[in-house]
This record gives sequence, C-alpha cells and structure tokens, in this order.
Amino acid sequence: MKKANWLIGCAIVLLLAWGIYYFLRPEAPAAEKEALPSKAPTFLTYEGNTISEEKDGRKIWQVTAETIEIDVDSSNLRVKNVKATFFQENGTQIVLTAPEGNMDHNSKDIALKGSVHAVTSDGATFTAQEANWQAKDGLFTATGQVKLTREDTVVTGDRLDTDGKLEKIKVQGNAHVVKGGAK
Amino acid sequence: MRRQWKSALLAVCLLIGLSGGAAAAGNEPIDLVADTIEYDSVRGVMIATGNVKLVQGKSMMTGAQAEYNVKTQETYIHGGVKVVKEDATLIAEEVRGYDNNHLIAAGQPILTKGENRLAGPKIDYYADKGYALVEGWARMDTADGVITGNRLEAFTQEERVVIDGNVHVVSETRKLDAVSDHAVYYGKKGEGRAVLTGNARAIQDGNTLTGNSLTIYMDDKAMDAQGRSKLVVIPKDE
Repeated sequence: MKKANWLIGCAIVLLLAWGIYYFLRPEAPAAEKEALPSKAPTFLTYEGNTISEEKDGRKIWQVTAETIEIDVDSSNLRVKNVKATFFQENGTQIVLTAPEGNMDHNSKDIALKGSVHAVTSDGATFTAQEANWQAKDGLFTATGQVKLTREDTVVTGDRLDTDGKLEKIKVQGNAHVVKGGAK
Repeated sequence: MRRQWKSALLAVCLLIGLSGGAAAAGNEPIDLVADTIEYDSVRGVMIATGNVKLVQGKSMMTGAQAEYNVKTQETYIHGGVKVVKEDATLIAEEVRGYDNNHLIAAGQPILTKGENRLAGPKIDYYADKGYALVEGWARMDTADGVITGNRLEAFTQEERVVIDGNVHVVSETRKLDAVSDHAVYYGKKGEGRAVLTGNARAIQDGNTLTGNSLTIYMDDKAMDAQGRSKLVVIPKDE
C-alpha cells in the first residue's frame, strides 16, 4: 500500500514537473517549428560588435555595427547600421557609414547599401546609394546618385570607381565635374 | 567694308578666354560634363570621354574627348570640337590651351563671328598679346569680301592685320579684285585702310591700278598708289 502510494506520488510529481516545463519552456524558434529548406542559412547574431582585419601588424579595416549576423554555413556577415573604417598605408583613413551591409568571408569584400556616406581624413566626402570595397585591389565602387566632394571640386555621376584615398576616380554615366564651384 | 573687316578682327579678339588665359575666365568655375570622367586629384588631370562639354564663364567647348589639367589649366579637346564664346564660334578637329594664355586650333579650324569667318590649317592665339597667327594659308571672309594669303597675323589690340604671300582681295560690293605680295589692314576708327605692297595690282570697276604700293580706303571707294604706278581706265559706255 505504502509502495503504491509512493509510486502514485512520484507519478504526480513527474506529471507536475512536466506540466511546469511545458508551460514555462522557452518558445521554440519559428525556424524549428517548420521544416527548413535543406540549404537555408543559419545566422548567429551579435550586437554592438566590432570586427577588424590586420595585415603585417597593420590594421586594414575595422567594422563596427549595431548588429552583426554571421551565416554559420558561409561565415559571411550581415551588418546593420554599420561604420566601416579603412586605414591607408600613408596614415589616411576613410570612414563609411551605411544602414546595412554584407561582408564576404572569403574575399573580405564589403558591400554597403542604403544611403552610404563616406569621409576621408583629409576632408573628401562622398555619398551614394551603394558602395563596395574590393579588398584584393583596395578599390571602392559606388553606384546610384554618386556625389564626391574634394576641396573645391564636386563630382557627380551614376557610378564611381576610386582608390582607397579617393584620389583617383572614374565617373561613368552622367559624369559631371565642377571645379571651383564647391564652397 | 571697314565695318566688316573690323568685325572679323573682333572675332579674333573673342578668342580671349577660350584658352583659359583671360584672368576673368581663369577665375570662373570649370563645369565639365561627359559620359565618363577620370580625375586624378594628385596630378590634377581630368580626362573626359564621350559627349564632352566644358564650360567656363561665357566660353563653352564641346568635343569627343577632353583633357584638362586643373593645376596648369592646360586644355586639350579633340574630335569635332566646337568652341562658343558669346557670338564667336570656333570649330576645329582639336583645340589646345597652354600656359593659361596660348590657344592652338588645328584640323580645319574655322573661327566665325556673324558673317565673318577666319580659316586656315592652324590658328594660334596668344591672349596676353592679343596676337593671332594663321600659317600655311589663310582666308578671311566678310560680308564685304574675301582676303586670302599664305600667312595672316592679327594684332587685335592695335586692330591691325598683316597678310603675307599671294595676297588676294576680292570684294563684290566694291567691285574690287586686288593682289599683292603683302598687305596690312588698319582698322582703327578714322584710319580704316588696306595697304598692299609688292607687285600690287587692283582692278575696280574695270579700271586697273598697279604699283609698288596701293592703299585702299575703307570708307569710300578711293585708292591711292605710291611709287611707280600705272592706272588703266576703261571708259564706260554711255
């Protein structure tokens, strides 16, 4: 009899524990609720992070973002509200800000989108709808309503290719340069 | 004819500033439009390609390709070049501007102002001296007539044009046909005249005047001969 009561008590405790767990367990992510495509990327998200790359002891670039998502399969990054700083060998810097961007893990190329704004340490600025940093060549490509201002020169166009210092540029599509008109 | 010659001189004068040589133009912003523009801010060199339009002040250059050095303000534009400044137009295959002062138009250049036209194989213009040079052959058209020669120099500040070699003046309105080795045109007010020297010969209204030196006065149909001269008058039929 005592043994039966003890078994019943254990069963009730287990039942209560399971009930508590059932109601208090964390909600399963939607991704887990539904069958996922076999190749759907999985992202790890970090907030307020800074990542950078160094070469031969010198920092090449540094990216700070409100959020950084890492695709665990490809190791590519997705960043939100990003500030990317590129460091030149001569000590000059270019700082780009954008609402969002992507970084390719293999090529280290960085693509920024949505009202990109850039400032160099020697005062040049440019704005564009999109900007891409090609790590291998150290080149920027900006597209969409590009506007570059350096001293008294204003350059506008559909596409702009430039080096990391914004010293040598190529503007294509509705290319327009005003020298002496900038304030 | 004097007024027409003077207009032709003014057309040469209006080249000032097209080379970027005039101080006023030199201080104006440069506005460059093209399909593609490459700009090296270290060297200060812009290369514009495709439907190029370069505007500075009241001057506008168009062409297929242009190179502009913002440091030296040297310009090279080629491919169907057209330069417009106020009511003067220069067309050429290529135009170069040097030292903020010197403009060279080559490749069938034609400078036009109103009905007046200056043409030659190459037109050189120096803004500081107001000096234009056309060598090889030169042709100046006005509403009043045509002057051709092997070499033409225009001294715009002095309103003087010098033409050398095979000078030929033809004026339908004056019924004048004159030739000489050398000619000088003076355009200042009250001094409007053309002096033809060296084997000078002028035929006007059928009358022939020959001499070492002939002076054609612009305000009327008068002509003077200096030195050994000869006049052959053809009687008019009554």
